[in-house]
Amino acid sequence: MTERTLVKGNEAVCWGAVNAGLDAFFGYPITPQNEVIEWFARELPKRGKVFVQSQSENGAIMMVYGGAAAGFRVMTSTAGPGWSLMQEGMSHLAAADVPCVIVITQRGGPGQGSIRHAQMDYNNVTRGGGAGGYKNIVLAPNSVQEIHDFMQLAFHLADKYCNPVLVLSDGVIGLILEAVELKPLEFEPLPEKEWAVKGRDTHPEEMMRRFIHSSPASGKFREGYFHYGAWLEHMDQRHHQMAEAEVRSETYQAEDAELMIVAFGYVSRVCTEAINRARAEGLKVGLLRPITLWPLDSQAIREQADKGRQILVIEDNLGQLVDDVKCAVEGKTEVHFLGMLSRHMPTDGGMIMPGRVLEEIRRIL
Amino acid sequence: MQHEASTAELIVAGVGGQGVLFAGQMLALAGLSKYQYVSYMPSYGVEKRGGPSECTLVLSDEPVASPILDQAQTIVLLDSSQAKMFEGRLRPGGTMIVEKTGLDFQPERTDLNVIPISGLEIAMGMGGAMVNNLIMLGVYMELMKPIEPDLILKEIEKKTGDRTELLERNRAAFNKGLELGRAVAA
Amino acid sequence: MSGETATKVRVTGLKRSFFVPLIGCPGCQHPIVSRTVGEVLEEMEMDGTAVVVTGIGCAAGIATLNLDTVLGSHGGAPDTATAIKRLRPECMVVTMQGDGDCIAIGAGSFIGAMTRGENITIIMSNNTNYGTTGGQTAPTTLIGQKTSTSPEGRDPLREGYPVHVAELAATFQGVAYSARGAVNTAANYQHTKKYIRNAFQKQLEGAGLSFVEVLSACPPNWRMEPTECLNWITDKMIPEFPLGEFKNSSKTG
Repeated sequence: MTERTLVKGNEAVCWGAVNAGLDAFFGYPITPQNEVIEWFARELPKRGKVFVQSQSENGAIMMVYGGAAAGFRVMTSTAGPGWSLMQEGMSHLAAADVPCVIVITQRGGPGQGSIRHAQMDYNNVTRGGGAGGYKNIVLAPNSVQEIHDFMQLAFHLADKYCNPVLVLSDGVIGLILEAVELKPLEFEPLPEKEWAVKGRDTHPEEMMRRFIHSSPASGKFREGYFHYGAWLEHMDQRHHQMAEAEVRSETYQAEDAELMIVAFGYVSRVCTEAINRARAEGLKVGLLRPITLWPLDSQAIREQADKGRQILVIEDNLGQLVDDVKCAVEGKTEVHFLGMLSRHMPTDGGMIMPGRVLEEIRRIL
Repeated sequence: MQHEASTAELIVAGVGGQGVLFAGQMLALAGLSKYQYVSYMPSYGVEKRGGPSECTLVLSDEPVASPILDQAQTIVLLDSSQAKMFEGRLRPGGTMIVEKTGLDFQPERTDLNVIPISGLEIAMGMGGAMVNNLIMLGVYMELMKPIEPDLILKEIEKKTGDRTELLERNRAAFNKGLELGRAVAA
Repeated sequence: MSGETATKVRVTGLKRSFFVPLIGCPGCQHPIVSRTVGEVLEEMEMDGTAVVVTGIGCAAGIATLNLDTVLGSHGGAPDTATAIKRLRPECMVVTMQGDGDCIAIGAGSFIGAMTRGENITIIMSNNTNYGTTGGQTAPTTLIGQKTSTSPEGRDPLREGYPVHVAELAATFQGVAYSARGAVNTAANYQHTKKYIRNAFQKQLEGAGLSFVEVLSACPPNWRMEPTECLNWITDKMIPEFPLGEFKNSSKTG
């Protein structure tokens, strides 16, 4: 057996980041991800890396912006109301073409909401909650191993596209312990960051200063943006590149399925268990799990409809991913929905359980 | 010893302060050396003492489908008053190892294997109620055999460190549990 | 003026060049503040390692200088500067902010940096209003001063009292240097240039956060001619916001 350690989801964020060569973490405490900031506070100084607890989440995200502009691998981690505060920063980061990784451990919302788990941030992470309609890759792990591995993928993709990448965890997978292989992963090499702002002496052959700015005035790309339209074209191009090259999803028990469940994060694990039970009863159900929430594998979803399968979207919220699934199937099949009102108990510890999912599968099939 | 089943599921439950999570963690850590896939899910209310506490463990040779289980193969329940609540938390034909003191449980299900154990009484004579979690864990280990008991003892040693009195108490309680388990099986 | 390509010119007596035209309305003093910062950095041979983080607004006039720059968020410059300094301590990291940027929307960021004693230099231009957006009330607006959001004049009952940022900064243990200057007279300009140099010196020494507030004219929003503004600074602003050094210590504490 390979070398594995029992790691908590939130700490896998840290191990993954360190294995990706993280230079700095800037953050602020918020439940349910305080293990992240505490691990970094303990471990980063030991490794000669930078850790700062900011005075607020808007502080943290603007620190990330600085570290990113200076060409370093930087990240922050937050949840709920803290994530709301970061929307302005996200808008700047996306506009300024700088790379960074942000981890969101979803909790119940809106507002102060609940400190326990939920999946209520699908909409704002895929649509961009800050001004301007930017797009960024969203990775949705569903296990502690994936949290660890996706952190590394996130840093790679962020640098590849010079764009923020979000890793969307939740208050369930963040708090479970699973056996994990803590291994640094290999990725294709990327060019040097020849736009990083570090002082003119670091680029003496360039006559002009480097200027990073969340608007067309940015001189980050050598060719420059002569007007707003050129900047928009560049942005649009980047969105298309990411959408074409980085979409990820996987299926389980899909070959002869009559019903396909679409789910991500902790709910996709619950659905896997439910599918196992359903299959034991002879029910032909499978799972399509989006791994990137943006870009969403709409094509794969549409293919299910083309095969004449019904779809059941299950998410721990009041209906977010389901709207995108309905869009993707273009009316070709029935899209059912099971959400957080079907949790096993009404308190905030309630979850969508395998038994409830099985009930729904039986009802449909 | 080759483990018998390719997947072992256990819910340990009780009340905050009974060491429910500790017992679960010991099994998770010990299971790591024998099973490729291990998941441990703690679940608790806001109160550290007095509120309900439970954890779910899955040890498997296959990827764990869900770390969250509404129904598991086995439950170890340290708080007898919750027995009725946990009746629905077992898979068909599942086993509930439950604290006998204060137990007043008439299961509606006929497929369950309910094993009351007077762990608390014994624990009181071995250093206090706090070691009941290890007694009950021992019973489970002997009856279901997910891994060799020695692996649990190793984890207890690692966790307890050089607090020798505590270590002896913990060891004795766990071994007592194994003994009780053997008595049940016989 | 906007939309034209800037021309690089050599300014007499300086080794390196600036871009002209410098931005600003006739009589605006932000370009003077920017230029002073640029001059001092060149004199100290630190312009090659300098990274400037600007706030948002006319005070972001440093955008015209040939120094590596990050345009920050409105109020967030101290955070962005914190990260750059922590990651590249060899850089001379300076923020250029306006009064509203620094002590209204940026108050949390400003106080956070001072609390942590970040080794950065913060330059706050104080022209007693939010100039870029049309002259609204700012924390440093004077009592009785009319702005577009206090048309009757600032009234303490409605809009509170002016904030004295240099004095405030001096109360923080993490701050090694705090001063206030003006650039409305030749003498004041010389003092201000010295304060800015002292501030950068503190950063070089790793002494803690250094802060310089510079009183600055805003003719269109003050509804005065440029020369009237210079007098107004002497007659009205300086009595409210006295010039001088409020803290000058070799290390924080």
